[in-house]
Amino acid sequence: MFDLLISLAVFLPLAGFIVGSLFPERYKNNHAPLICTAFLGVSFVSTFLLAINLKFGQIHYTQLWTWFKIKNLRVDWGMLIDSLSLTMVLLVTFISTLVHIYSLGYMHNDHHKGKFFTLLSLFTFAMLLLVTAPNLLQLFVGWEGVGLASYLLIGFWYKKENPPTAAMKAFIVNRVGDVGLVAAIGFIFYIFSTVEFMPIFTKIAVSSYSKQTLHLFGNMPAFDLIGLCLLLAAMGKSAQFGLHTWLPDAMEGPTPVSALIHAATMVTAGIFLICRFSNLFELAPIAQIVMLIVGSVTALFAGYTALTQNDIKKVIAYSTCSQLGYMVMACAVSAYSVAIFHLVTHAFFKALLFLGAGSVIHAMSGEQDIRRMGGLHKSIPFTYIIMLIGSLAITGIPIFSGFFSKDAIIESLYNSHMPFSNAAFAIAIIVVILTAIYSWRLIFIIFHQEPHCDEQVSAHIHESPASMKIPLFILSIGAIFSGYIGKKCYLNEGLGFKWGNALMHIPLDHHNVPLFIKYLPLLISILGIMIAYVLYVTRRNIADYVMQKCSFLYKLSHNKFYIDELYDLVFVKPVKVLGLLLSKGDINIIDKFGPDGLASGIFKVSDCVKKTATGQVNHMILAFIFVLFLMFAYILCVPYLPIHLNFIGG
Amino acid sequence: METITLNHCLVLNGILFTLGLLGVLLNRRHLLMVLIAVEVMLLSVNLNLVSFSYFLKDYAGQVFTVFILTVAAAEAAIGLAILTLYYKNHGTINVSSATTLKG
Amino acid sequence: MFLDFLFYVFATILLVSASFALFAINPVINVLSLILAMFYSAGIFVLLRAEYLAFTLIIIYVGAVAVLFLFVVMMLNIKKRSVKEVIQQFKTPLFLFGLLLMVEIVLLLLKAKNIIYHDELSHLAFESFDGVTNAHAIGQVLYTQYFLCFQLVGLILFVAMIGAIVLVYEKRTKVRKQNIKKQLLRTKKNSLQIVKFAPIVKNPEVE
Repeated sequence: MFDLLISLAVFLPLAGFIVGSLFPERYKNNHAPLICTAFLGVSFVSTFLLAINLKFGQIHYTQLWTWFKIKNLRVDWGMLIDSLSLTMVLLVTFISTLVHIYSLGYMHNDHHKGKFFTLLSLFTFAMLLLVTAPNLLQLFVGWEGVGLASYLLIGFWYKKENPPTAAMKAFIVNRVGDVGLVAAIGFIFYIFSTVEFMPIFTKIAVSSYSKQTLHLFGNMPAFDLIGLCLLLAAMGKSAQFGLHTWLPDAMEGPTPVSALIHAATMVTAGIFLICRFSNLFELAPIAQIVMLIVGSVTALFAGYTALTQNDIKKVIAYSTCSQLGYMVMACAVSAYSVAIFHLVTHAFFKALLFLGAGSVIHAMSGEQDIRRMGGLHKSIPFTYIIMLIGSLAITGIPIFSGFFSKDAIIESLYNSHMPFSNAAFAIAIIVVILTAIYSWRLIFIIFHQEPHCDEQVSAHIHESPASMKIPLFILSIGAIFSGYIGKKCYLNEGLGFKWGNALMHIPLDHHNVPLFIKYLPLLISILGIMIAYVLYVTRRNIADYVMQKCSFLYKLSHNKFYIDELYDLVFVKPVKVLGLLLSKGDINIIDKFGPDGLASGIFKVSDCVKKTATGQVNHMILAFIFVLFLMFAYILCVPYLPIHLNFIGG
Repeated sequence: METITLNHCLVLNGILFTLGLLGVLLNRRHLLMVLIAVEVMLLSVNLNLVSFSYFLKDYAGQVFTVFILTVAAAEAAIGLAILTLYYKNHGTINVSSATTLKG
Repeated sequence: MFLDFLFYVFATILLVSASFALFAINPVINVLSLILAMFYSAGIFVLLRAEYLAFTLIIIYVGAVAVLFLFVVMMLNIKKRSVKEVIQQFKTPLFLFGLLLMVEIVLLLLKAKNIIYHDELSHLAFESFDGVTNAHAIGQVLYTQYFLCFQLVGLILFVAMIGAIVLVYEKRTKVRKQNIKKQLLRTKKNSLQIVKFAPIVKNPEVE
């Protein structure tokens, strides 16, 4: 029964993709949306049934069929259900269903909406493949699949100028991370002689494996190396600092795509990978230190950049980046369950924020620049409340979900004894205030300032249709309540939820944390909200004054620390130059002496030969006589040649 | 003819023949030169045959010279007829106008 | 001794006049130099004991062919060449090639050895060489051994004549000629036709 349920859950989105794609163009836009949404709804229901009936803590393995078998390596397609993957499957199907329903309204007037829905289903299928993978190769297939779906969806409006470039950027930067994953798969196979998760995790506990070293740049401890490679993969997918450049540009895609892929699911694949290998990371201290540094830098950098962005979706994108940094920091201090907890709550409120932003954009007839919005809290009250709930959640106000998960992370950072953790704790606190400032800046500018939009747009401001309101409503419930429930489930293993062998779960030690530290994030958040209120509602000239005085800092933030320009200079331009050089070289050198040169050479030769055919008989006779001349020369010279010829003349 | 050997006659004929050939090849003016050069070549051939006939004491050479004379006359007649017709058709007997075989 | 000297003189003038025949400026000079060359080659023929051939050469070649050339030169009104043009000819690489060719041929010919061979067929010729005149000797060989060739040459001349006539023959379409056969085959039936018709009635008022 479990097999059936999980197979339904994973493969119904694929069925939705295939069936939707098989429609001819004329009917696709009419039927594919509903079909895909329906399939996904059923998928979620079957996951829900599975979750109810399955005892958490158990591991259930559904084997489908064998992919290949080479000597001793046997790789199967299958579905591995344990607490971690079930959590992810539930989350993915739930949010995906809601995004599908939302898209019914948001993409209603789009000419290619059928294709959009099929691609969303494809993405969901790939993500499910990733999280239910029993071995690394299926995980890699899912990994690449989500990268592909992300590319297709970001570049969905391919006729515009920016989306195709953004899609390529996303895919290529992801690829850089994939190098890490492939290397990790290779190393794991080398060390463990298997790529299946269950055998790997049982072997990890055996000490003989953890002491092994790999001969790469000198003798490195194997687990650390694998951990670093996995971290690289996670950096690519989860947009950590260095490989983050694709995430803001990925906002060129439609808003449901941003909500689904770049808030809730794909970017969490990196975190999922790290948590999957939690057993391994426990034995890889160097990797954990690097992870901590990376996560903290990401959180700080993204938070700082989000302060000065002027596009709604970009602000929320950097917010996502920053929260992902939080999750990585949590993983680094061995609080994997906290990371997953934050992942779940973040999925809810970030998707809520994105879909709410989509609602705002829909109301403003496509305007995305916040400087041209304002005073909307009376015109679109429902969206206003939604955005409020989302912002309250992200800034960690009590009762809302973000409060529980963020505090859990900060407490784990405080409790940790790792080398860099004090600095990481400080950075986390700073990021709390930054989060508050940029989130509430968004709210105040969009909803509370005076309107800056022009007549045509303001005449059209309207609330979203029902198909967009329902998912927003459901998500808001999740954003509010997932915190309390989640804390009970994920952190305290209550309500029938057990982690089992899925994750290295170390319960939080609440008693070591002083009261001040417990309430510090809340105080900082409220301080941030007040600062944002002052800066953007009451005393706006202070904001301008600060902007002028610290123009360097402002520019640094506004231009994303010039990372894009740096990458362009260091990577893109040399490759372009090399490419041009090689292509020109190819044309001019190889082709010139090869096919093209030969062809044109033949033309030249034949032109020369053509000139001899003048039609004058003189010249014909000349040719004749010339040969005669050569014959006579031969006959005359034969006696004087150094070799003796047996034939003519000799 | 004590000191004149076959080689002398041959050399003379060779030079004469090549002269005729040059006349054909270096011709840039009009088509009649070709015919005249051909006559020079035929003359050298006749001389050649007769000298061979003298030095080898064989009359076949002289007989063949008669044939060549005949044929040369016939050929000159026809050649001139053709030349006249060509002139009638083209209005000129420049070498540079006879290029229908070009290319 | 004298004959040798004569041979050299004839040879020199022959070569010089042949050059003139080819490279002179005036087309008439071309043809007249050709005639001169033929005369001096006839002279060499005589030195080589082929007097019949010498005079045949003069009669046929000079008298008929070269005069024909002259006719054509006069008829076609060929213009004189300029000296520059002629000298331009000598500057081309073709001329050098021609000189090389000449040198080569001469070198080749100098390698020829002075051979005398005996053949059954030429036995007859060998014996009758000194006693008779050239015409007699040629006739003895031509009408006996090479009789077929002789006939064929006649045929060649015949064909040449036909060829010359065909080349210039124009059918004149506007000339009316008598077709005797048609005339004789004419009968009353296909040349006369008797037609009966009523007399024309005059207008009585005219008279």
